[in-house]
Amino acid sequence: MKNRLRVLRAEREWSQQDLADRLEVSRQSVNAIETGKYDPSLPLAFRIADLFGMTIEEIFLRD
Amino acid sequence: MATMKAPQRRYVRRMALAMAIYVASLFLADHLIEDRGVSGLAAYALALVPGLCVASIFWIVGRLIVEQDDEFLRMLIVRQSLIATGLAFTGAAVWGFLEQFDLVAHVDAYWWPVWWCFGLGAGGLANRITHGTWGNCW
Repeated sequence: MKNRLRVLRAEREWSQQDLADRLEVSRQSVNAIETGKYDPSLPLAFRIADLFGMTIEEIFLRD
Repeated sequence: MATMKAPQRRYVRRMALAMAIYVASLFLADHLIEDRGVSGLAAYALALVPGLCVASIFWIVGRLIVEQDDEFLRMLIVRQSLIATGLAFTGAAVWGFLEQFDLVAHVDAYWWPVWWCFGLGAGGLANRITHGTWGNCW
């Protein structure tokens, strides 16, 4: 699944570690999600969406 | 280097304790059974402890899976464990039949859990290749 996480993070000038700390996950998790190697669970996808004030569909895109 | 989170700290502590008991119990059993001739129920009890220490590795990795609150890292440990299990059981099955037909030397059964631990390393490598990180079960 594609996502806009890297762009959204860059717009806020957050490092992967900054985003990981805000989401309370590991930096590896953020990296794996950004690079499309891991699709987050629905609860984590909601946490990501809430953090950016967007809907899940605005961040995660169908292939 | 990032500091260890609580689940990893508990994992390392449990593993260190299990390995310390393993080494001590192995030396004790070897000394008392082989050198001092302890036999009967006491010998069984002494010989059981090192095996149970090795078995505790599976419980310790299981607890790490349960206690890991990062879903991505948890998935990596599960992948690592499945790869390790597949490799160790494949080794045991193949070697067992080769041994059955006297084609290879006898291997004591306690080596298969040891190969499972090596399999965790192979699982970590697979995680690095497919998911970009070794994970945190080492």
